[in-house]
Amino acid sequence: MDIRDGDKLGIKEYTAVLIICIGIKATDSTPTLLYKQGDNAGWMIPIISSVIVFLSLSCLLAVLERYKNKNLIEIIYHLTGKYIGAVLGMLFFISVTLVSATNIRNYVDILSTIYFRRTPVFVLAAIITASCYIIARLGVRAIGRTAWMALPWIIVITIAFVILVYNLIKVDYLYPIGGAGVKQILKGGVLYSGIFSEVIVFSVFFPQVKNYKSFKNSSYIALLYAVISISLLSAIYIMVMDYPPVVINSTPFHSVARLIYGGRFVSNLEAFFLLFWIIASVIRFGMYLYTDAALISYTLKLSEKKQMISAVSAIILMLSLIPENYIENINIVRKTLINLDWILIYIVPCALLFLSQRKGDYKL
Amino acid sequence: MKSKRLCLTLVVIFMCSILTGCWDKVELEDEGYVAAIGIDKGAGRNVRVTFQITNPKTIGSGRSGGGSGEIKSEVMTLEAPSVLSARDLITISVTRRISLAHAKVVVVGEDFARDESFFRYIEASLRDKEMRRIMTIIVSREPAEEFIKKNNPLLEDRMQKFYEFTSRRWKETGFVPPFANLNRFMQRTETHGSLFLAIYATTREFPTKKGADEGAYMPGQIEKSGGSPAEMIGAAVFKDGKMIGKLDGNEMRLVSMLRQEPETRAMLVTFLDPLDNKYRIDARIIRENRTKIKLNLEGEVPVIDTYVPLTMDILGIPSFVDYAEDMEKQKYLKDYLEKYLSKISLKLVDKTQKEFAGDPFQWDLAARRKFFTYDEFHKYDWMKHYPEAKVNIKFEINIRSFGKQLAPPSNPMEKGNDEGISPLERKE
Repeated sequence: MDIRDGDKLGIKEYTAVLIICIGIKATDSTPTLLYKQGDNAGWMIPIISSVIVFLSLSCLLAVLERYKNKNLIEIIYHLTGKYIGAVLGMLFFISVTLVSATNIRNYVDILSTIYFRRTPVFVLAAIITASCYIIARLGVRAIGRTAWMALPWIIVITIAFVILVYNLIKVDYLYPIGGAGVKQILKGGVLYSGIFSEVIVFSVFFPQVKNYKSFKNSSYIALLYAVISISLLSAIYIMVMDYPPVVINSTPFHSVARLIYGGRFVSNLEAFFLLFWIIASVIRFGMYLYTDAALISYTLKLSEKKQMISAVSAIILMLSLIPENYIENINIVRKTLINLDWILIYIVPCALLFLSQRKGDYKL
Repeated sequence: MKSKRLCLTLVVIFMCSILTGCWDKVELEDEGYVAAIGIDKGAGRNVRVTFQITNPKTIGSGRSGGGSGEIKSEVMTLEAPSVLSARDLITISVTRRISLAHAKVVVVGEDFARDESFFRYIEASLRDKEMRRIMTIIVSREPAEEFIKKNNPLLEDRMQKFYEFTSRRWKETGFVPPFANLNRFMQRTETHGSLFLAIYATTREFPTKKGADEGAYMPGQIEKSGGSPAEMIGAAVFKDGKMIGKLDGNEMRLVSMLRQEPETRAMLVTFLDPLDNKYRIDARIIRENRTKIKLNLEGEVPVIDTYVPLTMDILGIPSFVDYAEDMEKQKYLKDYLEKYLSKISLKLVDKTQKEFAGDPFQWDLAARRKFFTYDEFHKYDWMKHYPEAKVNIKFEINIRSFGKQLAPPSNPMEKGNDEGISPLERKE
């Protein structure tokens, strides 16, 4: 891979991509899964997860620092050999493919239940995948720049959301503070740490980020922001709707957005939030498609990454249409995936660090 | 360069086809916007659903259209197995697609609200995308159909605006629960913690209650003439999704004072003048601080200590007793009001414990803080323990001002001062 310096992602772009990819999870079905695990203390789970992610991220960063110009897959090959490397690479590819497929489906279902009732699911999925494909096709730098352009707006909208929802809030709904109990929350923290898997998986782009320092800082900043936004928004949904009703609701963000009342002339504000939500999700899935293509082409040692994008998009689109309905998708597929993802994502970095320690690659 | 331009043009054309909104495109002219939905019990398993569809000629045409001759809305009632299926069924005689996107209220007839099936119907209809959780629930004493048909405010051209404006007044007066929306209804019913209060209304005339205090009415009892026949005062009390009782306007105000969060921040009230029982004092109660609830759940029965800080403006003293400058009388007035308010509050608490066996004050929110996990709280079952709770209520009143005037004028009608007897002694 020869990459010109101008094509590299700076700290701004990479942070923006990460923030959008992880932060947007506060607005899909993730909070619902959290409440199922931790009852009304579900909002604490991301905080605990982030600690675990932080540890594994530190391991990964230590490894990346040693192999300056290698990406995640190349490092895996280097440290584990041809066969295990290929298997791990494929596992990463499969996990990202499935995660993209379920998430696209999740978003499509939200769109179809709340906004576009009569449009067939296939059409929505195809349009989203097609627009993500266009973004992914333009390359990682284009995604980064788009993300950086969209980020300020998305942050402003998030803040506006919090402000507008403020008078619907009752803090008392967060009590009893312990929710499902300490044990359940800790368990949830481990099981749902897959929420932050992007900080690990996106290290396939490590050589495309300007330098080690910006990669490190971006990851930490994005992780912090994502934890704050996911926890805060999850808590807000509870404070607006109270605990048992919030679990019954399948799309808390959109339901709460529909409650917002901006006065006589600006009622029904949810369409406004929808616009920015769509922009963010297209960036997110564009990045996923690109990551997926990168993973498979590095694993199979292909030279052309861009051509893989169309193949990967087609696979993801097909997979996303398999689940029969929304509930099946989030309750079974998505939950299982998040719960399995963390094994791959958090054991691999630690193992890599351990192996590189044993190999003695200190000054490579 | 040329091919680039061609590409761009193609992209723009392609975008046009995407931006139409696919299958969900909506023509504004095709839509019939519903302002109010009415639900009553129908024959068998059916419900009677009433839609008040706003006349589009009065919307948006501004001043030019919407003359006095225009009909504001078309009200239609039909029986259907559910609220949603009624939407399709209504097309048998309405040309437009029914849109609930701008519906502000759900009116429920009292008979249906008292029925077991009410909650099921309303919960089921919430799955639809257009049912907004922000819609207010109004319980009418007569069937909802009649309420919607008879409610005809002359000042407002559009019914949406009517409901929107009245809902703002609710927050100011406190005669009705100000946030009686579907979201709260679902939340109270599903948490099984406290009672839900909905707005109580009527368009019928009931025997009027003469000479009562300012808010001691149920809808329809007020001596009123002129204007729209619709009256909204008091609250319909819901327990587990079913209406079980009602509160009048004054009780509703007390409930709002005893709730922790100040929902109604200012309300005009009158009290019996403690030093001259012929007259009533006008005052404005202002809630600036949260009511504090202290709970003790350790013992056999829960003990609830409620502390209500109030700020008050005395606005009118028709008895001409000098409460303003005479500090002793002022203190007497304060003591009297504090005792009076806690007395009537305790009476209300007693009513809720015995009649409703549930707590409309949302004290379960304070009880929640006493538990660490949700399961413990759920097992404790606040609704079960509340009826036997021992409640202490303490008001603290802070008289902030006496209006523009200082001391009232010396009573011109009085023949002579009560010699020797201080007004304080005269009372008891």
